[in-house]
Amino acid sequence: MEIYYLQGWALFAEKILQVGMLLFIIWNVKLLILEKNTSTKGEGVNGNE
Amino acid sequence: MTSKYVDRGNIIKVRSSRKPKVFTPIFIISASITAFFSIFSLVNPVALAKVMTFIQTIFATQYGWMAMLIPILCMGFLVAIGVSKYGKIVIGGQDAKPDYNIFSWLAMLFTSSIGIGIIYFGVNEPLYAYYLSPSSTEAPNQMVAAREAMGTALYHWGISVWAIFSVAGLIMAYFVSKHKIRYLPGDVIEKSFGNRKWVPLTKNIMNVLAVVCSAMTIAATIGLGSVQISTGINQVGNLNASLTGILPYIVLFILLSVCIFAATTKKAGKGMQVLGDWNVYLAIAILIFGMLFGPTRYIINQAVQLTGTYIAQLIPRNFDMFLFSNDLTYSTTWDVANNMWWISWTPFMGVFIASISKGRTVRQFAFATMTIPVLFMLLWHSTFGGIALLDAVLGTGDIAKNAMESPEVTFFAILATMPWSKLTFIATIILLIMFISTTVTSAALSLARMTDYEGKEASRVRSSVWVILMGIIALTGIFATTLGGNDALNAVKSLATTLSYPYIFFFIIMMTGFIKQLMKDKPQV
Repeated sequence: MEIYYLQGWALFAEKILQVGMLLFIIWNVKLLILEKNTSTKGEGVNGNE
Repeated sequence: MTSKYVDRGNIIKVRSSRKPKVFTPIFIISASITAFFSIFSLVNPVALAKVMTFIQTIFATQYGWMAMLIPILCMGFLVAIGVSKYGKIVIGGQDAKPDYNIFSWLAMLFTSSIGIGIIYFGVNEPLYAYYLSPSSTEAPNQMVAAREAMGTALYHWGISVWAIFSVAGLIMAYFVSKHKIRYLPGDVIEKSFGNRKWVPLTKNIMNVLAVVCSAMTIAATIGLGSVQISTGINQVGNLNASLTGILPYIVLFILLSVCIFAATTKKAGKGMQVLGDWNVYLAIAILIFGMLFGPTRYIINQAVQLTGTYIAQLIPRNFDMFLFSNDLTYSTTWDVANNMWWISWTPFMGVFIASISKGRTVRQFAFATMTIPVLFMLLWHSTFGGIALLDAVLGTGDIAKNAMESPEVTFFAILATMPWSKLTFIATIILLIMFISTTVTSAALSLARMTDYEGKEASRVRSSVWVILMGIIALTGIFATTLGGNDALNAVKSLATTLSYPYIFFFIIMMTGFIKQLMKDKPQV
């Protein structure tokens, strides 16, 4: 039971790590779906360069 | 010396110096980090193992769920892209012809990656699963325990592994052939996400980490292989104690010399193809020998049953975290660690697969890699793993004892129960030497290519330096192993696995970048 109910700094670190990973996944979804491809700067070459 | 020219709006830097630069910044940085770990592991392997195990435990405990999801994510991704219209995309352009036939292509994929492990872990895995996995230890009876053990062993070496490799290879191959990027995983990010603020730093860290991670992974493999070859030679020759002690070093020295020679010859690609083909022929010959001279009817029964077990577990096993079992750490110490070990192979495998896959379609990537090598593994596990498990469950337990005490002996112990064992020992030693040579040579070539200024050329000097650096780390492992136990080699392995945890983030973002790039390119197929 205690391995899932951490105390002190271990609890704090766990929350940071778990929330961090979830945010990372959300950020990936945002990059994939919510950002338009044309907004990418520095490119302009599609196909066989 | 560099100059610039403008091509369709893009400013491209071109190196104009006559001689290609050998000591590039990425080579110096990544080689220095690898050398630091080499020296650290030589001076104080115990401290290194402690630090790495601590970091690994934190990551495995916290991000185990993500490591479990990666293979299923890759499998779903490959199936989706394989059946879609993008499945028809040909790497290198629609008219590109393959450099290697399908057998050689798959043979090179197999021998440069998991090949070496089939002799060491291929026989021990069912035993480890039988004695340690909650699905076996907490099974209601012996029949279920044994069935689950075989299923677990194939899960660790089956479709999930190949799905990870295949995705890494496909992404690199697509970007290298279509967008002419360098053979560097970080460049995929740069191409997909352009000039966003976070891209340059992410790209550079990713490239250095990819190189260091690959070097460590291969070093651990060389170490394990050298010890096993020595064990084989010892079994054949009954050597005296003084010679037994130095044998692993002699084996390592000869292996490294062969690899340096192979990596620096001009016909490396052709040589790798021939070696890869013969490697697989020999492995198939040993497999057929084992099936014929082992308990044939049991092996065929085992293959049939394992097929059913594997199909039933193919999806659910990837989600099994063993919550509420008696061993709550099993998932992190075995399933998660296994997935992370294979993810640590992806930077090198991605580059290597990309370099040999011209003319292959995305559909072949998706389906050939996830089926043909897995069928071979199913038969291999049913034969050699199956015999070991049979001995553990219904036999004397003599073979099974090796798995816990000296796992490098298990395969030879099985061959000893069959006729002409001296001959098959020698064949196994040759197989091991060929497996290690192909793995190390392809790794050295990939690393030299990854650390090239333009990410294309595998310079001889860089290839040799990488072989030597990987050799030093392997040497440390062997040195400590001969003093006692497999802990030191496991420390090198744990170092590679630990370094692959940050790589998990890069792997995910690489997949995101690939999907984004496909949507942007809308390739005509």
